[in-house]
Amino acid sequence: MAAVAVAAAVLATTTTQPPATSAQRAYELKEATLCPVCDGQSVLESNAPAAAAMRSQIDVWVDAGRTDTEIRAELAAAYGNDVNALPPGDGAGTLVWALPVVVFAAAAAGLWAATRRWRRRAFAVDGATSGEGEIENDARGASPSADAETSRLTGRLRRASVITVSALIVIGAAAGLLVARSTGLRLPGETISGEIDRSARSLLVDAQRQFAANQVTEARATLNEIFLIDRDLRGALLLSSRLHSSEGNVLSALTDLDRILAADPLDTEALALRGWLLVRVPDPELVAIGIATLDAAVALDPAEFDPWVFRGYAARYIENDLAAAIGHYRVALDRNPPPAMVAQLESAISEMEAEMETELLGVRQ
Amino acid sequence: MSPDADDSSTQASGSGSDAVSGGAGRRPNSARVAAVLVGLAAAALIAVLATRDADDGSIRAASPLIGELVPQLRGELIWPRAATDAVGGVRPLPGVKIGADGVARFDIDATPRRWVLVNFFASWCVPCEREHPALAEWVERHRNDGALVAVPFGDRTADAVTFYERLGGGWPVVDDPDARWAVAFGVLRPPESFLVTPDGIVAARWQGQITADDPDAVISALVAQWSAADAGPAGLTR
Repeated sequence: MAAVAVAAAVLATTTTQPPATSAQRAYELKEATLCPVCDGQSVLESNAPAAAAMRSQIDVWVDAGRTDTEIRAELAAAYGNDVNALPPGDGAGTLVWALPVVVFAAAAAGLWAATRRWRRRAFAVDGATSGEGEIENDARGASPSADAETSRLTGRLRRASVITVSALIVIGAAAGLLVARSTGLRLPGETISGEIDRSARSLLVDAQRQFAANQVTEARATLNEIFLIDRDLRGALLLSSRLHSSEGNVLSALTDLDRILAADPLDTEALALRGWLLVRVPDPELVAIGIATLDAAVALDPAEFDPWVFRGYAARYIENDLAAAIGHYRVALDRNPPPAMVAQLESAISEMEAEMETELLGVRQ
Repeated sequence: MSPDADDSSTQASGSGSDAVSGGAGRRPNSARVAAVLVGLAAAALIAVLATRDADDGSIRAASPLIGELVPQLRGELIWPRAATDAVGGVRPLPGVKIGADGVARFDIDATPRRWVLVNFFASWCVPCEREHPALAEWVERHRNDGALVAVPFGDRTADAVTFYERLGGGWPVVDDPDARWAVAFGVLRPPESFLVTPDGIVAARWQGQITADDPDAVISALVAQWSAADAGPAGLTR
């Protein structure tokens, strides 16, 4: 009987109707998400700006076809697990789901044991009455045979009830776990955020660290992993190009950059790097293309110093236009590069200025 | 104190027994000690509360994002007003690009070698207005290794633009009509600021009005930590 009741309780909690419409799904998600700045209100009820923000984003996600689990994981990743009104189905949160079922089973077991004891006591009282006649006297002391039979009976009953109660508790605990697993939420750590952690962007951070630490092979392996997920991730293509060029593999480096430029022809970083690669190829035609590319990068007036340094280098060593080179280096200095670069640029500028002066003197003489 | 002690001693002597007198004499004594202790604790509490600095409004707050990769904040600019201001103005803005469609967009992934401060604000929020000069100061300090991006939160786009028109600001403001970025960062109430390391990891979060020194304290602590570890993040050494 108790087992049937437990099974019914489990079924009632685990089989719920899926929401019919996406509006209903959004409604249920909002109801099951706690407003992080209010006490005990869901984001559905609250008027706080944070709740309004979460509502509109839940609508966007539901419309985009994200699953409930994904949406809850996203919210938990930004606000913490406390915004989930439904406690998680693992860790300490299991208790929330399992305890009621366990308590119910234990209560059923206790009730069963109690009825058995009442029945036994009634039986023992009946036996004592028929054997002795007087209940008020000490029944156990008066009749040894009745006493032995009662204690034998009691022992058997006690053993039986111990077995039944423990079996019920085991069933209850198992049922509780079942409820917890099917009803509780997955924490972002378990399923979803594992995926998020392996996102192309987070892999890119790894690859950049490996590149900075000169772990070329590892960086390349990470990049290959990224390209399996996202062949067009700009940062990965840029890093891949840098890696290729550091290995002297100019053609592959250019291929990566062309991929970035196909998506955004005005990407200054890609343009600058492409020009920089080309001006150092010993081929006058490619050098000319490289200078044109650097000109395009500089014309976009980027916030970063690299294009100006590259353009200045080309002006100094390829075009022998020292005045232009000094101008480009000065713009680069204005975009304060790291100290080492500042020192290099400043010494290059003073060198070129000296060179120009001697040239000027030569012309005069 | 002393009348109490006299009282108890007369009571004790009145009972006549030495043993009882000893017991009764000790009890008021321990009560006195307890009273003194409680008094001292209360005085200490008052002293601490009275001498503590008043709260300046900004709190280093916890966030599940700290130590994680920053959400890929990007979007169309609502400020500076003209797209050309954003790129071709007096000084180009880091992370801002004009697309082939002529629209200026910010992308947090396009800010290499820079610390990024992400600031959520609202035109109706008084601390945001008070905080504004501190943001300008931080931008000035980090012209070359920092980027500030502001995102309106719980505000109408038009009001957010008016707010910047009134107060100025030489940094990009990214539109957030669906509260996508507010939710991605788990913003609770404006103003709220996040500091992102040059390689894109969220380093700190502040709730409330910040000063320019707040992020800088974190930056110098992290830079010291990295140079001690001798292996800086990719963004600094690249």
